[in-house]
Amino acid sequence: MKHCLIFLASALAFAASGPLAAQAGKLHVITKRLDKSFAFKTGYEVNIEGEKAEVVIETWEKPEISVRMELIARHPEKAVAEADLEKMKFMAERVRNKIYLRNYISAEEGEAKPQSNLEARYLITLPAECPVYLKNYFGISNVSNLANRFRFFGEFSKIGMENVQGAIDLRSRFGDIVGRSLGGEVSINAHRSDITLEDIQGRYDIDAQYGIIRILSSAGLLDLDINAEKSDIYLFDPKLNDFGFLLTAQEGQINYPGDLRMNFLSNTESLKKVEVKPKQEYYPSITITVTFGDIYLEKEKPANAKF
Amino acid sequence: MRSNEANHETLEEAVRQLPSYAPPPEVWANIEQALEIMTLERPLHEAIGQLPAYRPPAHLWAAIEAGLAAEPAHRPGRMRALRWASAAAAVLLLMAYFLRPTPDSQLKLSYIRETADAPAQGLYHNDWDADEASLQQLAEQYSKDPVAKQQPEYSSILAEWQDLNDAKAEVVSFMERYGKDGQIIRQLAEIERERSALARQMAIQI
Repeated sequence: MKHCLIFLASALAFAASGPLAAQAGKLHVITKRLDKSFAFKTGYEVNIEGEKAEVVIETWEKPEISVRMELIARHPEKAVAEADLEKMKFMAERVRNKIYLRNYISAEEGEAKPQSNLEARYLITLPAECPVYLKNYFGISNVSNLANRFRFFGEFSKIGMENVQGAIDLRSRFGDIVGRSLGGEVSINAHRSDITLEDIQGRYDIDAQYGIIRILSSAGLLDLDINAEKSDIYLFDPKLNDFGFLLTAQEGQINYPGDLRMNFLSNTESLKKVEVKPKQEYYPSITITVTFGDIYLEKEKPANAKF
Repeated sequence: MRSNEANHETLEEAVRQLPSYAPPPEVWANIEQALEIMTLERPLHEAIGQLPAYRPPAHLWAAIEAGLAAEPAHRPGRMRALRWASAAAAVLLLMAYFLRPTPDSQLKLSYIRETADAPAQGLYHNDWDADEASLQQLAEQYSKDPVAKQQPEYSSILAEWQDLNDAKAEVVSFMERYGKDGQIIRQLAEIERERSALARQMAIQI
């Protein structure tokens, strides 16, 4: 009798954690949290490879790299969420001067695919001078206050940057790039990705296909070179007269304010090419070449603009 | 020689058919050289075995020990150098201790179990493949259309179509592994909008 009672209680407990407990409209959210810190020394680099990951990178004064990684599974059945969570693997380790952080799905041979909704979250806090290489696949990343070298490769991922300085190399495919207060040597290669940059300084080299590029306020700009295909390019700056321009639109239009004195080098149906040289001896240079797209120069961004 | 093997001839035939291997010539040269050395050294080993054994007198060890104990007093310069070297080593060890990176912390693992509201039923329902057959048919027709082939953007439209098809397949495959959510379905919707725009462009040119 005692055994029967134990069996009944176990069966009820199992049922309570299983489908019977899957109340209508409720999900079980199981989070595996990992905390680890690494001592930082000059020459170290953090290398992140996220899948479906929300990555936040911040800085602090301590000579230490702190990592909090969360792996999350959501499913109406608790047992399914727990089992699927274990299929999501992680790596957080240092190999010589590189700190590798990674999450991925790895199911054993013959094992069923995960049924849960899975995601990862990273909160990484490190010294500003620590170089970072971030790869994200179907994720979102937010990076702030880095001051040395930042490399990003995103696919189907959005990257947001705030006050990032130094050597910045961004590559994106089917993602969006948003940067504010960036400075240094910036190189961007974007395929089917929109780019929005605000308050930028330094030198920029941008290659883009199938995207919309918006540059807002570029007072500290030294050099901007955009080469784009099937993209529209917007440049908003109240001091457009201070820049030197060489703009080329093949199968596209060049739009600019009336008081900007443009010198047309070509003005045919298929090719528009204009040049502007300011009176001062030294000026920032902006070169934009676009094929199958338009160029817009405006002093202010429209009040109803979403960006 | 004959054996008791029942199918002796078959066995012999099989043995004959086995592949034969010859060792590289240097193997024999090495074996000969080793044998020659063994022959030459044999008298030497025999003579060593016949040598008499002697034990030193017991007082000899006491004298050696006394000599070792007295030696530092006779060599003050060497002792001083040894002390300096020890001090320098201690300083270096201390510096290494203080300059070493703080050891990386151990991984801490914890679990959090919560519940959350599920998305409305049917919200993530697959409707993105509903027009797939028509779209593929249209693209097929466009790719074969003689008038469309004359258009300057013919190749780039087909390349773009392929690019978007690949992207859609990538999103769907990823969704099968990580599940559906609002973000990923929005990405799929964006690709579908671009595919639709391209399909409209193809339709006009047919």
